[in-house]
Parts: sequence; C-alpha cells; structure tokens
Amino acid sequence: MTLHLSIAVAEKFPWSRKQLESALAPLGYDIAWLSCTPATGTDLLQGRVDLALLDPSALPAQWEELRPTTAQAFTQHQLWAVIPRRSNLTSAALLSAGAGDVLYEDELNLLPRAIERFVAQRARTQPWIAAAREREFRDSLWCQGLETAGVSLWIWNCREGFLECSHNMAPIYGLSPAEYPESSQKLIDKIGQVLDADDVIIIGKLFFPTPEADDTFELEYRYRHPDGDMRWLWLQGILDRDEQNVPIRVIGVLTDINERKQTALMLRDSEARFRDFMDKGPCVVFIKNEQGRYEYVNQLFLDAIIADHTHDSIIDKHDTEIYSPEIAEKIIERDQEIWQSGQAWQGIEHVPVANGTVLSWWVVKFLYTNSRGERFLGGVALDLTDKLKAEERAQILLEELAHQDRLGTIGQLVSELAHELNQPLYAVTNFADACLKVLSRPDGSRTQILPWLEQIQAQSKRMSEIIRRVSGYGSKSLPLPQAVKLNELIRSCCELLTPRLRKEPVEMEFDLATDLPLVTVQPTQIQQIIVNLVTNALEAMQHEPVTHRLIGIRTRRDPPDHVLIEVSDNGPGIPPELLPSIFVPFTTTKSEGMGLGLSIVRSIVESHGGQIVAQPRQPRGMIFQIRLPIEAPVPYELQLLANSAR
Amino acid sequence: MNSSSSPIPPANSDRTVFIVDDDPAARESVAALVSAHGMATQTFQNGEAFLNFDLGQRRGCIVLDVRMTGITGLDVQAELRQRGVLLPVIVITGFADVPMAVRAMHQGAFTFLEKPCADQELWRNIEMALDQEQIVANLAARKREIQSNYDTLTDGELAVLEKLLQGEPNKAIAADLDMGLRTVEMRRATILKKMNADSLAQLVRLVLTIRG
Repeated sequence: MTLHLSIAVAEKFPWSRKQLESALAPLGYDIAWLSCTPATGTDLLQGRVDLALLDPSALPAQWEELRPTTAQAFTQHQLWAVIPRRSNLTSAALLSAGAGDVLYEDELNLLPRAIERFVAQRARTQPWIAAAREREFRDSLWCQGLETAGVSLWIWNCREGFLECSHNMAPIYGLSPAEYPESSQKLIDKIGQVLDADDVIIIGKLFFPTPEADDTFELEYRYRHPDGDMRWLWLQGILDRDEQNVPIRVIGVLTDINERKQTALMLRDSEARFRDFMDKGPCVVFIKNEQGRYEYVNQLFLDAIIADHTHDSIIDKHDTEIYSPEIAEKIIERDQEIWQSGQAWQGIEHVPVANGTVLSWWVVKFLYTNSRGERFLGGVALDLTDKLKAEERAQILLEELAHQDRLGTIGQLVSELAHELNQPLYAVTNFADACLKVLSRPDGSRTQILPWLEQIQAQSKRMSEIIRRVSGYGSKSLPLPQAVKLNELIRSCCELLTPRLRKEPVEMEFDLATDLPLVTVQPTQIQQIIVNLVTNALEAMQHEPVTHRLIGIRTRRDPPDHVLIEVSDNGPGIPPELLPSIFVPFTTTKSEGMGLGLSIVRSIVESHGGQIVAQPRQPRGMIFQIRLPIEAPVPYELQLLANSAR
Repeated sequence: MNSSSSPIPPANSDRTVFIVDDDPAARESVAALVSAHGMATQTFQNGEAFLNFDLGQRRGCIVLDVRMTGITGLDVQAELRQRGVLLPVIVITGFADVPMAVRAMHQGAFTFLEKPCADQELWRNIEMALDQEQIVANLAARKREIQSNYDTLTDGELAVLEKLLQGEPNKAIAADLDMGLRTVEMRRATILKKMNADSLAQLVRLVLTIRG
C-alpha cells in the first residue's frame, strides 16, 4: 500500500524526513513524499494526499483560507496531524477546525498508531467515500453542465435567510466572481440593487413563502446589467417543507434567458409588424399552393372580398369554392399561365367584393419557393377602382374641354369656311347655268360644255376637300393613337387655317425636318395644339404691320426617341411676369376667350407624355416648343379599360 | 351732223362682260356662263390688272368680286367711279355684311350679289345690267346727237332760241332783239329744223335734255 504523505513547509517543523521515515518504517507503507508547499490545501482538495501533516503555526496566514478546505478534507477522513507543543493553538481548537488528529512535537512515537487508526478508519469508510466522491463528481458535472448552459443553482434557507448558490451566480448578473463570491452577502446586496423594485418585492414574497404557497414557482424578470442594458432572467424554484408543511428551503435555478427572450420579443415584434403590415395596409395579400388552395390570406382579403368567411374557412380552399364559376375560371386560367411560364404577372382583374360590387384590382402575382423547396403563388392586389374612375373622368373632362375648344375654334373659323365653300359653290352654280343655257339652245355644242362639266367636277372635289379638313376636327370621339407623319399633320392644320390666314395675311415659314420618324399620337389632338398655337400667334400679331407678321413652324428630331415642334411668332411677346402662368387655365391677356387654349394645349401634350415650354424669341415674339415622345405612353389602365370596353 | 351718224349701239355685238375675280374657277365660271349666252367676256385676275386696263369707250358691264388679294373690289369700284366709268358694276361677295353692301350701293353698284348665286340669278342680273347700260348708252347717244345739232346753231339763232325758251311770242322777240318779225320767224324755222324738232314744245324738251 502506498501512502502519500504531505508535509507542510515550515522550518520549524519539528520532525525531519529521516525521523518520519524511521518512525513510519515499521508500518511497511510505501510512502510517497510530496513536496510541501503553502498550496497544500490544493493538494488536499485534489485528493492526491492521503495524509497531511501540518504545523498550523507555520501557516498562520493560510490557516483561515484553508478552513473550508480543511473541513472538506476532514469529511474525507484525511488525517491532520498538527503538532507544535509550544503553539498557542489548543488541540481542541484544531480538532474543531477539522483536524483529524493532533500530535505534539514530542509525540512522534504516536504517529504510527495514529496512522494505523486512520488507515483502518479509511478502510471502513472507503466505499462510502468513493460513492460520495463519485456523487460529488457527478454533481460537479451536472453543475458544470448547468453552468455552461448559463444556469445557476441555488438554495435559499428561508429560516435563516441564507443563500447558497453556485459560483456562476455572479457571472449571470454580469458581475466578477472574484469581486462577488458565491453565497456572499455582498453578492446578495448587489443583486438587490440591479433588480427593479417591483421585482424585488415579488422575489421577496417567493423567498419567504407562507405555508399556503405553491410548491413550485417560476418568474421572468429583468435586471440592469453593468453595461446598462436591461436583461432577462428566469427563476425557477421548488419549496422544501418540514413536517408541519412549513417551507424551510427554496431550491432552484436561475437561467440567463436574455438572448432567447430578446429573440422571442423580436420575433413577436416582427410577427406583429408583419401582421399589421399585412392586415392594416391597403393591399389584399394571398398565397396559394401548387394545388391552387389558399395558404394565407390577409384580413383585407377576408373583409373586402369574401363575406361571411373567417380566415380558417378560406385556408385550404380553392378559388372555385370562393368565387362564382366565371370569376374562378378567369383567375385559375391566369394562375395556370403563371405556373407554366414562371413569370410574374401584373394587371387588372375585375373581381366582385362581398357586397356584389365588381372592383377593379391591380394585381401582381408571382411564384416563389420557400426554404423547404415548396412552391407558392403569391399575390398582392390593390383596389384601383376609384383611381381608374378618376382617371377616366379626368380623361373625359380633358376630352370634353378639348372638344369645346375645338368647337370654339370651328365657330371662329366658320365664316371663313363659309366663304371658302362659297367660292367653289359659286363656280359650280355658274358652270351649271352655263351648261343649261348651252343645252337649251338647238345648236348647243357638247364640246363647249365639256370643260365646264369637268370644272363642276373639280370644284365639287374642292368642296369636299374643304369639308374633309374640318370634319373630324370638331367631332367629340377621339380615335386611339396612331402612327402619323407629323409634318403632314401640321400641313393639314394650316390648311384648316387657310381662310383665316387669308383674312389676316401673315407669312408662314415652314422648316420641317425630313428625317422625322412616325409619331404615335392622337392626330386630332395634335392638330388642335397646332391650331391653338397658330391662332394664338395670329392674335398676338394682329396689331403688327402686315409686312412684319411671321409665323414659323419647325420640326426636329430629338434623339433618341423624341420629336420637337416649335411654333414661333413675331409679335410683341408675353411679359416675363406672365410667363409662369400662361398654361394655367383661365389665364388670358385677351379681352375675349376663357384662357383655356394654352392649358388645353399643355394637357394634351402631357397626356402624350410630352412637355411644352414657352420662351421669348429673338429679337421679338415667342417660341412655343413641344417635345413629344415618338411612342406616346397611353396610361396602361386606360388601355385596359378601352380594351375591356370593346 | 345728222341722225345717221349718231353712234346708237347695237344690242350685244360689241359689248363685253368684264370679270374681275382672283379665284380662277370663279372667274372662268362667270366667263362660261356669259359666253353660253353668246356674249364676249374679258377676265382679270385681280383689281390692279383691271384698273391698268384701258376701258376707253368699251361697252358692257363689270362683274367684280369684293374679296381679292391686293386691291379689294370695293376700292376698284370707287376708282372706276372716280374715273367716270359708267358701265354698271355687279358686286359679288362670298361673305356679305351690311356695311359692305351699303358702301357698294353708295358707290353706285348696279347690284350686290352673294356667292353662290341662286339659279340664273347672276345671268339675270348681268342681263339687267346690260339692259340698263343699253338705256344709258342710248340716252348718252341721244344727248350727243342733240348736242351736235345744238352746236350747229348760229349766235343769232341761239339768241332767238333763248327768247323762245322763255316763251315770248315772235313779235316780242323781234322787238327785244331789234330785228324784223320776218327774221325771227325765219330763224325759228331754221332752229326747229336744225334741232330736228317738229314743234316748239319738242324743241324745248330737246334743249332741256342737254342742259340737264
């Protein structure tokens, strides 16, 4: 048998190694001499020492520190032989401090007997000690595990108000274990300071339970971490009662749940945000699976589209179970296209709502795959009914105004047009009279009247040309945009104005680009722009000498995809202070008129996706410059409406 | 010096309808209409061209468009009047207003027509204008004839004529002019003969014709 002996380093230690060896030799033990250091206590704790011989007087400083260690060593039946005869320590004091035995320096001869007693005793207690050690080891593993998990163990003695806790209690509170050792009053005081006052009261009630208190409790509470943050902890406890059912102890664990809690809170916030976003926004949102069954719909879907349906009654339903067969068929057809093409789709769907009204929804549908690889069709729909109606109304209003404006223009032109028609009519009448006269004579010559009949034909054609010029211009309905040759359109406008230009002589200067592409516009509206601008120019110059009157019309390409139209005059120009407001309706410098002409021009230009600017011309006069896209963007909704109206 | 040499014009033979209109079709149609009725025409494409043309003693009538580039029809009409042209003027306009019509009539237009004219209206008016022109022309020719007769009277005869016009009897005239009664009677007969008058009453009418 090997006996490990540890001897305290003390110069005054009375027995030399040699003396000890000779004294212990008869025992026949194999003695492993360990060097004795002030850390003997550590060796003892690590169980590497079977027997320790200490001179407490040699270790006055360490004694108090070793006290818990010695107590533990004692429970493990290690023998303490502490010796100095001259010491002021009494053997009773040492024994009560946990020494296994006490020998005096002149009692070396008693040491073998003491050791034999110890060995015999240890043999008796060895299995128990081993079991205890095993249990202790397991417990320490449990504790380690719990500590690793951020769980602190504690036992609260209700009667004495004493807390025992694992050493990671301080770190859980973000405190230094060195500064705040476990189970210390300092730690308890500190914990009291970092809790909310309310929580302190609640915890106080849990820790001093009445007999009626529940056997178990748990509590989530927050403390102020040294870094200033409030962090979450989770306290669980079990009451331990005596025979009278009076709680004597509370045993429990304290867990740092801050991260979990924060995550949960964030998740809750994020879910609430998601729900609010989905349910309180103006959009209908839905998700369907590959079978076309609803996986999710938001509140608006339920409120707006479906009467008497709850969320659960929609989930897993098919469109055919929700809508009328015709509506469902359209929706399903569209969905099928999206599933097949994989392309997102957006457009208008006309879907009835709960009260039976059919609303126009702007719908976006798209496919997506979730993290599990399942495919879904998501959709967002916005009720555009009012907007579409408003746009439609605005468009109708613009067309109505423009129509009124054109009618006004025609009214102004009508007398000139009458004259214009009278000329050929006069000629036709005369030629016809001449023919009749010749034919009424017996010697009437066909050759004489032939050129006159041809003239009648020519003049009739001339009249229909004049009528063609104005017909259409005054009509109310507008054709859809079409690709036109802008220069020809401009020339036709000037034909329309011919009578007036004859009445108020003016020099027209055309500078039309030859490389213009076809421009997609509503021809009548563009004519109206030109007529209005030229009429304005004429009116601006009516007090100018005839020889000074000049109207220039210029067209240019504006690469890559625009064209420019400029109408300029040689008039007095527009005062700079009025320039900003000339396109505002009911602004006019003229004594007659509503001041709508230029505002209508601008509305038309803008409805074609273009811009108009007015600027002074050098040396005098004005230039109105219109910039039009080659492809006028017709509002998509209006196209759809136009299409659906067909 | 006698009736046979008086230039009494024939009906249509040397008369012309002058057409002034800047619209070629309008111009030619009027020309066609007039020529269908067998009359000569002469066309002018604007007012200036017409004013530059020397009408001289030409007969006929004028069909004048009001609204023309350059000088307007009404200004042409005023200028013709200024020049003493007596040919009737038919003023035509495609777009009539009251002031325009009033001015045209003040300036002595024969008539004022609006384009397009009703069936045969233009021709009827041309005919009427030509008739009027004929009357005027006849009247003018008659005046010229009387005047030429009148111009052959001697001073002595003129003195007797004045007294006759004042209604004095031969005896009184002889006393006033200090001549013999026989002389007065002789001169009276000569006057009647020269003036191609059958009676004193006719003589008075003829003389009043040229004196206005």
